[in-house]
Amino acid sequence: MEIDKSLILKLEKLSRLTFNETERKEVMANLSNILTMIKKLDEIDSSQLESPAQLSTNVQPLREDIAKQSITREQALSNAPDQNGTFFKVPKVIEQ
Amino acid sequence: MPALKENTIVYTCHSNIISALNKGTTSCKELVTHYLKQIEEQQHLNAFVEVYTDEALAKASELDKKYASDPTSVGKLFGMVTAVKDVICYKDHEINAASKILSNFKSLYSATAVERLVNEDAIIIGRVNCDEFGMGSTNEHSAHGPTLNGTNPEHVPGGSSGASAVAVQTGCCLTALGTDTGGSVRQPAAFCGVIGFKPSYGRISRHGLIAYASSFEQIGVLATSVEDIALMLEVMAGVDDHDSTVSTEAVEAYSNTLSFEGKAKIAYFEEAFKNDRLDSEIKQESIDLVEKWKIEGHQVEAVDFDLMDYLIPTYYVLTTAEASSNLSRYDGVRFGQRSEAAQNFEEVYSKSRSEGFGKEVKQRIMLGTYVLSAGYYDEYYGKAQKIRGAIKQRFETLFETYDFVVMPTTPTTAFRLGQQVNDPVAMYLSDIYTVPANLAGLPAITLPLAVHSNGLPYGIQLMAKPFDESRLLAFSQKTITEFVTNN
Repeated sequence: MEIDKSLILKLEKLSRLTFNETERKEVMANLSNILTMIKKLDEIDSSQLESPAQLSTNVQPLREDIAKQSITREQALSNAPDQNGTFFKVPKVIEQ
Repeated sequence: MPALKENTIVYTCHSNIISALNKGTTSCKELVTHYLKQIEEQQHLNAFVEVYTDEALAKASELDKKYASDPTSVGKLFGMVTAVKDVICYKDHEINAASKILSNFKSLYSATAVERLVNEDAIIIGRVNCDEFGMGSTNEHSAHGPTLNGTNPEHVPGGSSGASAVAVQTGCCLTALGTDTGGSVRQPAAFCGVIGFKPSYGRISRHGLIAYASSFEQIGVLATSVEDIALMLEVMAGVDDHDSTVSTEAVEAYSNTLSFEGKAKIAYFEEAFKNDRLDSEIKQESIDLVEKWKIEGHQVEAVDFDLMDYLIPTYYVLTTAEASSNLSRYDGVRFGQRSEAAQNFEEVYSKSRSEGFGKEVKQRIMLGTYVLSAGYYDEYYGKAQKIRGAIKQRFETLFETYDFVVMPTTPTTAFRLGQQVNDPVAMYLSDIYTVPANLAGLPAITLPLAVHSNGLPYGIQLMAKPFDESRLLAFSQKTITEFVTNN
């Protein structure tokens, strides 16, 4: 199955990924090979199939709605690439 | 076991270690020292990303003292030395998921599975390599570089839990934790000549396992004995407040139920054996095992399974969809790497992700995004979900009549390094025998079957109905001791 450039650019945008031209060519080729393999599913008429798989046999267990602290603010910030001790820091979003 | 230097494995199972510890012929400290030396000697295989040398020695001394003061005070896993895959959290230790995007990340908590092992006095000796986020079948897609197969370093160990298999194969630890989303424990175990086990979906908590495809993956165990797998499983399994998909089914004392009574009813799929990618030696040896079972009175029958060709496509649609959603959390804001080239907020996302993720991961995110996107959702994702339902249904019906399904674990022995790296479709198709268990949530195990004329080991796989781990492990124990003892 062919994947054209506009589709790949749309997927890049949705995925928040960017590729250079060489990488993009490779991704396009690989994706079209994979999609050709996946097209095999067209042979099945899924209108005859009932429902999606339910893997969990559990009735969803519910816990008491009690707020508890799991990690401290310090811990939450400890792996951040940029923070000021209170908040995560990011580049300015709104221009003044 | 594959040919290993004589001194590489001192103990083949935990019960041997326990009797040596009881007799006083060894100590935890001596054990850990032995494994550390072994890790050092096998360094060229690149299995360990990090070795917890000081910590493991300190813990060993502490346990030796605890045992000396009161032998009944030690936990079930006293003397168990284990390694953990780089996607399973261990509090205050670094974890990278073999990805650049998580370099320098430190776990804030331990995975429930790890916590339970440690509470029973297991010693975690180190963190082992894998494919990035568990995506790959060769252990070559890793920011830590590839891990090599201990039997022949020109070959891959399989993946994604490749280094977990190598760590056990080369006697660097007694057991290792891996994760299995589509065969990531069983395929490397087969390629390295060890036992690899994936429990039923919902048997072990996924809390603290870095998510790839949440409705497929489970933590699994690699070992050289079925007893050790049973022991590790009974410690890790069971309900957890942090993961609502864990089953409330009772956890059995699997290590006490390893004798298989009566005769088994086993099914095999003719379509699986007709696969032209299946190596002829692996095929013949698998058929020979079936014949041996039959001679002993076990019933083995061919059943029709016409969904064989749809397993891989269904699996890749659904797992990549789940991956694209799960991996959206890596945004360069709250944790992980942020691109230094990012000029604005949008670029913090796109540049951090593009620089941080490897090729295979990006490709799967793109595919997952495609199958979930407007206009394609019903055609791919919705349809694959329904087919998954049909696959699961087929297995349910099958297990009304049969105890187990037998299949080769892999169509071939371990690939050469670099052989699959540029052909994702070929790599995906090699998962054909392992994905059914993940699609249907079944427990499955690979046992070392034989060594190929090319010198590489391979395995045979057994699957059972969900939560029938005790019978699966008991029959595996029987098979390994009575039917494939020539290994």
